[in-house]
Amino acid sequence: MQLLITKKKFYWLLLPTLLVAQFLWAQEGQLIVEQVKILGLRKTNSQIVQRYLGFRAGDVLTPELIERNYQTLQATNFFKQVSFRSEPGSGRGKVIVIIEVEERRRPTFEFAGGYSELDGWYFSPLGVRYDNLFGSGHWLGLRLLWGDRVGGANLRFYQPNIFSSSANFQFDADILGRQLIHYFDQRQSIQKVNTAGMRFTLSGSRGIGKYLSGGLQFSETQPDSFATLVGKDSTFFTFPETIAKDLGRKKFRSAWLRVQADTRDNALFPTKGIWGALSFEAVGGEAKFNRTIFDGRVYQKLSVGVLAWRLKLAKTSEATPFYERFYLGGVNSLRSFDERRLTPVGYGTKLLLSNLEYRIPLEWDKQGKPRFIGVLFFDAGRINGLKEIIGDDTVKALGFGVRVKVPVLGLLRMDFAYPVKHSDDFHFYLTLGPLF
Amino acid sequence: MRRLKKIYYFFLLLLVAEATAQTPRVISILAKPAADSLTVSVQLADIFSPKIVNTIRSGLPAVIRFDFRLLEEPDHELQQMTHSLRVLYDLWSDRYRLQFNQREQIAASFAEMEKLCTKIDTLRLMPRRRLVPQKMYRLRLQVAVIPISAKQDQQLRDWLEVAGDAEESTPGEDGAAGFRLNLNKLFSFLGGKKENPFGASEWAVSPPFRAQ
Repeated sequence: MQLLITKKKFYWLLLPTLLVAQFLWAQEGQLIVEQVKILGLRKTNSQIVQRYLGFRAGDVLTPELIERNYQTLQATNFFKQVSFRSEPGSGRGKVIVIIEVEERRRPTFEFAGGYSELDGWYFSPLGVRYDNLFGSGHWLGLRLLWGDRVGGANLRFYQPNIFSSSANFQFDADILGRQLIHYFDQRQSIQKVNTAGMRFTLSGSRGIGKYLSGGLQFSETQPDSFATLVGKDSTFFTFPETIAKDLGRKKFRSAWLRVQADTRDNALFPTKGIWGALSFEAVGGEAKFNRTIFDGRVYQKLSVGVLAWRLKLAKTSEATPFYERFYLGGVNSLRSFDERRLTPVGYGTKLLLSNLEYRIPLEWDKQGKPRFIGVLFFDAGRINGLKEIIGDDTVKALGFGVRVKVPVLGLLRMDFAYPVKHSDDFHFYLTLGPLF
Repeated sequence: MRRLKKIYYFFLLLLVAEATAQTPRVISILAKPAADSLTVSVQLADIFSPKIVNTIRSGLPAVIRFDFRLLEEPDHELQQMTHSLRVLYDLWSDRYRLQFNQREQIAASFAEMEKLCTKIDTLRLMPRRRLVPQKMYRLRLQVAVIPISAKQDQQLRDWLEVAGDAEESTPGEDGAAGFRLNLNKLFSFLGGKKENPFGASEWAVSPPFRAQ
């Protein structure tokens, strides 16, 4: 009996000893952060830098972790120079990480360009960014926009972690002139729609908040009272009722909420995971309508490539003005048709779009990222009023393409698309950036 | 007069600080065509500043980057070649590991490791057949020592890489994908300004040599 008690005591003593031994054993061969020193800060609060760091005192340190954090700090655009080094800590394996920064004092000037589903090709001949102006870690930028269907300016202010919370605040002010494409009697025409607005957004960065965002928008829109026939250089003023009812200046105010999830393993070339967002917008003012949009993407590795599927479902009220409705057709929508060629007169109120792609990496760069990718795809879509355009409820298209990663410009996309029926013509697209 | 003296001492201090800021030095560079390849021998000095020594002693690596340029006489650049030597102090076995051209060497002490790093013998640079026998060549070299990761000296390359990042399309705001070009960085690149926070050696040039 006495022996049993002794044994019990022995086991009780052995347990913590083993735990301590295991802890010490785990430390062997690992470097532990003892302290993080940030040097060179003049206006920026050190908490702003720590917010971006992916490690703190007590964490295991590796050169790869330093590399990632170096790139994160560089990407903030707050610093002209960032460098990491280290010093031995108070004990073996303990490390003091020293981050030396040189704050950026002058604004940065940008030239940007690309392709937008809404606006087509665009360039920003000049953009000015004055990030971290007051040392509070905000982003502030103004950029001019010019493109084949858009022109205007955008001012953006973004403050992460407002009042030291996990909420982020963003303010946008835009003045834009957009050219909408209509097809009247098989003929393409362009109508300009001018918009000025302000948008206030709140989003979260931690817990359940990181899945949510919402905000308010105030805008004023005025479409031109005429449209121009493409290639004819002639204008006309008589619109169908679906468009004519929305001519004239209108003021809107709206509130919107969005739920978003992202489990992708890589944002640029995902091989696994999902990205999904469901947004609801209630609009008031001189027109009252609701708009719901679901956009979901699934990525799964399959044999030598990745299967990627995007499903977009959208619905809006009949009272929605034509310039706030949905469209179908084009390089970032349903391929094998001209831009918005499948869109009914006055645009659609219900949309379904599916893009299925099988992406096969054919060549990798030095970092192991795909540089040359072959793609097979199948698109399908429907929009209300489609039957009047092509005599069918659904349109399908097949195709193949290549994506080439080009320095500075990013991903160059070339697609050859064939409609399954409704037309014998194939379409070739050359554009920038991934479809989804 | 007193004010003038102060200004004089201030500038003197600045000069001293500049002179004592330790950057690596290339003592000698000798290019030699061997049987099948062009080889180079390099002698360096002052490669480890106190900051780099501290980084190595804390157990994180340092990278010595050799940036070679092959010149055809008189001054026409033909090729760029980069080699990296990675130094890592293994705290647990108290040894230094040197990784260079997929080979690893072990040094038992800091002094031994420093000796191995400062004297590079017959490093194979390129196949000899790429050189034209009748022509005269020279080799230029710049050495930089970077703590932890060579990425810290690749800002422009990194920037070119991330410039390809596409903006995510979001519902309600229809998808946009494109590029952004930071003009400040572009101008500093075109102006030949190189951002190296840790200092690099001056460019050193080998004596002229022939492929034969």
